[in-house]
Amino acid sequence: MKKIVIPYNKEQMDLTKNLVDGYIIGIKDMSVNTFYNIDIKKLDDLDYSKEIFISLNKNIENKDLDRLKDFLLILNNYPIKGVLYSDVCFVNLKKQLKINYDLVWASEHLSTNYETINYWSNFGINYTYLSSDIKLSDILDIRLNTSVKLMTNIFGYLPMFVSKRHIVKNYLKKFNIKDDSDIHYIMKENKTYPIVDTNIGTFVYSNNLLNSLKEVNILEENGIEYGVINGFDIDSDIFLKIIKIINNVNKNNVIESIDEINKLIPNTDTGFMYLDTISKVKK
Amino acid sequence: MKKVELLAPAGNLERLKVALKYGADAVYVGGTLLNLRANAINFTFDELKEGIDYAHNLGKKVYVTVNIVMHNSDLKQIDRYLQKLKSINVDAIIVSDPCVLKYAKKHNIEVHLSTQQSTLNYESVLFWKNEGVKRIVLARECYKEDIKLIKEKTGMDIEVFIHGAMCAGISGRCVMSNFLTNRDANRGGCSQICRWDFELLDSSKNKLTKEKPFTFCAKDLMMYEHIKEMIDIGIDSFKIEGRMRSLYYIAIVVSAYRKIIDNYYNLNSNFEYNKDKKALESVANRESSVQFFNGIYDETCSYYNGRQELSNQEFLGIILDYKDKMMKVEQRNYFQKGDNIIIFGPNYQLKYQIDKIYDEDNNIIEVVNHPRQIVYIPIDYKVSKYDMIRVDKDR
Repeated sequence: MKKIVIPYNKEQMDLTKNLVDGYIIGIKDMSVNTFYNIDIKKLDDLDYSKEIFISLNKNIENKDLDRLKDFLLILNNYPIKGVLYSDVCFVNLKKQLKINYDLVWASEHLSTNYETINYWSNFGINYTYLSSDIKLSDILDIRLNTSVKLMTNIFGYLPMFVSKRHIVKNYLKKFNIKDDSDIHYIMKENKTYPIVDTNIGTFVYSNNLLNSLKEVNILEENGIEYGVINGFDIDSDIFLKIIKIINNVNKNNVIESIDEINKLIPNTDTGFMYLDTISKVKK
Repeated sequence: MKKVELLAPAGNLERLKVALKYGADAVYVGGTLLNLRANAINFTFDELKEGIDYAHNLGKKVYVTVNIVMHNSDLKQIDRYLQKLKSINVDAIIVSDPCVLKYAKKHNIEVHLSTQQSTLNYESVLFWKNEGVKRIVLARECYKEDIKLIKEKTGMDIEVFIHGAMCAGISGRCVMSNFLTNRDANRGGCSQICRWDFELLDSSKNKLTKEKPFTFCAKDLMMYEHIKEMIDIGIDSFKIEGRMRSLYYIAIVVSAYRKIIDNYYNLNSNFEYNKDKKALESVANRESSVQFFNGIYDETCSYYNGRQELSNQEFLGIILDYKDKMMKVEQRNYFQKGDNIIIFGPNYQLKYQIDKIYDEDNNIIEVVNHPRQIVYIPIDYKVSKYDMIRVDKDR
């Protein structure tokens, strides 16, 4: 399984360049839940000896379409591995613009079953970034029922909310609160959740970081192609240590590796790997 | 000229009948499977059949929501469920997960694409059109100009929300409910975290929250004053949110929009604009705005009064029957002899003072204070089933 990183900043990229297989990079004002978002004119600066995936996964409005088409054509000139998208318009544009790189269906919470993944595969979508809220058994079941290349989260904060609204900025303005933090937290019952209000809307993340160290080997053995490590809101030096631990984990040292990570970051869990969600609470 | 459709929610069979009586052209309902309001009462299969037959007899339509985001374990139910829906002549299904499309094609069922797909641009609409989808329920983040452009560029049948509660997040991209309460937002279990209060902390985790707690909560949507513009830009269906809403809410909201739509087409000079707007406001849970329609989505679209919701106790009862100059009423809130009430149906309202009340054993009683108590009230005016009684606030 290849390890790819969503870097929090350029420093995380530089520190990990010899330790991971690739990166997911955002483009300014076109990407949600990426944090190292570059100007489209800076594509030359990326190191293409690594697998580079560009994320253009915001919800696309009419006013974005011309710019998006330009970007997709520009990307044809770079040896990128693929483009992550959420909006369905990409499937039409792939054909219209004769895109020569792969598209990765990355709608965050909709990629939850193999039939839908295969539906998109029929349109030439050969990669899917799996939803962060499905179980390990679902991931393995999807693997058995599709030939699409699969990405799944293995470490880091998980996205849980995207809004076009400027929810933090609106609150600060409404109550005349002066604060220019680039990241905030919301707190409920002593749990804190990172919240980021950007030019294109507001994003919220889980209170604990996913730590799937125990599952890495299972995912690898079952042919999941990519494990995604998210550097969001992690100090770069700590992130480097985490990458090294993940790279060295094997069946014999899992417990020790998890302990090592917990010493660096105490608030980790296994996300939805073993957790059933419910939809009906009343009889 | 094709008239815009008024599409109402119906959480159960009784609400379906009320919505249609008060002027909806179509209703959308959830069956027992695969729908996003898992905690609504929902329809049994027999009720669905009865509701569809009832609507078709009136020349109206029923759309069934099959709009969850499927997990592997849901897949095996789709084929059989759609086969059953076809057998009872459902007019369309509302779908968010495209894996349902092949089954809909197999059973020749019309598909409307749910707002859960968050469709905001014409290229996406063209994709779905090519896939055989007949209608798109646009994302609630669409501006007026977006809707107009999409309609012009695609000619697609377009459905837009006009009234009701709003999600704070982009539909399909919010799973806060999963993380905070273990209830699956995209499979019908949403616990509405966006209505919760939070502390807001800065980057050093110092508290910023002051007079009011931090919340994601959006004001409700109310497009009543923009209906003319919305018809003019070519929207095909106006959707009212709220499969969990009460009979009374549905009657008031559907009736108000029915009147303003008809007024647009009939140029009715007797139209009582302010009166209906006031009625809409009287059933609101919280303040309203037009949200994204005008391209403004600043703090004026947010609702900062915490979880406080307005309680509506003006709905007194629903009329179940009228015989021998006596109306049979099922109580919904306390009332008593001597109360001044308004009796209303889709096309009338009547001020009345309650003179006598009889219980089911024909005894005269003074107060009606038991939930859903059945009583009889003499009245000369011929009322009909599903007419309603409310407090006369002017008296």
